[in-house]
Amino acid sequence: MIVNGIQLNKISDQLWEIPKQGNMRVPGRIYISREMLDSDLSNGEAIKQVVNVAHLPGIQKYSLAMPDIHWGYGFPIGGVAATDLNEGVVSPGGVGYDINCGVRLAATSLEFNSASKRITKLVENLFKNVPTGVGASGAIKKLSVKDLKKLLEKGSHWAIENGFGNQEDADFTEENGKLKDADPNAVSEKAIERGLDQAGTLGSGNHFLEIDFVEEVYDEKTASAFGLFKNQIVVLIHTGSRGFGYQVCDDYLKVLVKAESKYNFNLPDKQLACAPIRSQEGQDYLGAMQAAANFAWSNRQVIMNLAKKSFMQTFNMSEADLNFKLVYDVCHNIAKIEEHSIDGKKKKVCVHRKGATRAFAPGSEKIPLRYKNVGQPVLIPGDMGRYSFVAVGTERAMEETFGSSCHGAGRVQSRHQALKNAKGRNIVAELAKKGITIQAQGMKTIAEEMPEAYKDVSNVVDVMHNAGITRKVVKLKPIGVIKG
Amino acid sequence: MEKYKFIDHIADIAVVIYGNTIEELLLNSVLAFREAIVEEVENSENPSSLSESSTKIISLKENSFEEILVNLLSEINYYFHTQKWICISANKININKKDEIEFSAEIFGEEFNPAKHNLKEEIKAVTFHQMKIENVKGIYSTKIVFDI
Repeated sequence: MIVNGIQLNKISDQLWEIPKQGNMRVPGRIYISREMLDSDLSNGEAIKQVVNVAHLPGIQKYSLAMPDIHWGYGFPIGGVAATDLNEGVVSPGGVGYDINCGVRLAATSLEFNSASKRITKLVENLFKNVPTGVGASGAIKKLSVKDLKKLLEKGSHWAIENGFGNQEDADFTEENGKLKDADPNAVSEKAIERGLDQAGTLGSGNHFLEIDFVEEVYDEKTASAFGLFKNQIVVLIHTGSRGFGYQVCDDYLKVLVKAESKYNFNLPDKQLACAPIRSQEGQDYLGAMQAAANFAWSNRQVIMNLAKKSFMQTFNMSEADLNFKLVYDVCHNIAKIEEHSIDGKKKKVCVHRKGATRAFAPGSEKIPLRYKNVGQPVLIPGDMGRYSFVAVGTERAMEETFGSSCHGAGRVQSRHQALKNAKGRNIVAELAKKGITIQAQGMKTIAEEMPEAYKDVSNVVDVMHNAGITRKVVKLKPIGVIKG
Repeated sequence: MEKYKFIDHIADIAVVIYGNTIEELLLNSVLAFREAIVEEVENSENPSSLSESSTKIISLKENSFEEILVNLLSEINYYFHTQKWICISANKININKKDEIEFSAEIFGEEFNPAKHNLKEEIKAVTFHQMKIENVKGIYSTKIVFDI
């Protein structure tokens, strides 16, 4: 079929290929069903971005997109691209503004039947304890520049050293909650200033903290390895590196837009601004981006512990009885140096995942020992009214997608349209009818983020499941939400 | 001629800015940015007033007017996030086109005041997405997308 002048060849029911043409260095590949292709990508803009990414110097195998693909800046959201370390580039557009935006899932010993009566109180306590909303601050006192730089080097470990959690939490975080080549000196004063009072804040927009219960178990063995069981109460946290990360991206986009004339890459979109990985600009961006990634891990680590305290307070339980444990923490906006098999040979590449989740297979050295036989947990949040999913990485993901999968639902209505559709309705009451308690800074956010404003995430998850890239493990049903 | 017009965007905020001159387009972009982030509280009884300390001088040196526009609004966004400072308007916009474009302006603003302002959105960044300053029949215009 042809969309917006771009040829798409069907490889399977879940996979479409854009043949190499013009100055594309590799073909494009989009994991998507025919139905979603027709409904979500009909204007062709996001497909064009898959083509644009295929122009990046040093790109390996394919310019990839996951089924939650939609129009982004430079890269599409849902885009994955791996570049050669010697001849390739790194692009902030392949990471996004919210560096290491990601998801964290924590499990408890509580079960839905016994806990459901206290959920309203729990949501109240969470809303009191976790700073939310535009410019929120205050979970921990404003940091000194020296302390912030330590946080940027240590990631989750900084939060743990400061009383927010324990060592085991870092073990169950992607990259152990710290990218070791973070370079606080590559970060601008502006970014530092924006980060000083934002450690431990949830933010606004689509960021959330959600209480769910395990509604359905698809794979008992893997669920059990992850410590998950039917009707269990769990917590899902979605946030990133806040203003600190946005500023880092902004700063380096400017540097790399200017560098374009120096390297003369002649790329089809200004927002694909990039620099050779081995160049000073490339190394500086990678150092600053890793510092922002560490900020985000520390942020989610602090918030998880604020949530744990809220649970203990609400249910009057000891830490031991609550058994509040991190299942896993994944980032879905990142560029990382990873080893992958390319043309039968192991090779280190820079994997950009923008709105895509790492999904490593069983046996990987990069996943916690406890999960080594089953694979890495992949956390895929949906909207606040329907469901979210936990899946697991497979060998096929390693072979086809540089160990990557989808990351969420994506909007189907603009905020403006959602507000119009919410007029005259009480979204809080509608959610309450479904058994979901919500607190947010304002009714506007609730209306903008209402369930019908998002696509049905199960369609996205099913494409990856049917393609064999990730397998569904459990389905989570929301019962309490706080938002900025 | 309208100064700016917000248009629908599926995930973020998009606005088309107009101006009879580049300077006017840049001024109108400041006004649009303000409208994107705050609205006045209805029946506010506590209006804040402008003062000397509410003026910021922004100077830039860039290769294109698109870069000037993005970096001007990014600076204002930075002041909002770090100093809770909200822009109102701009004055004394100077543009000097040599090898690079030199830009300077006085931006008026005020401290964020919850009695007066409702915060609408946290803008992550001002993007280059679909930005192209064009002159059609003497009117300058461009689209800007704010990532939220």
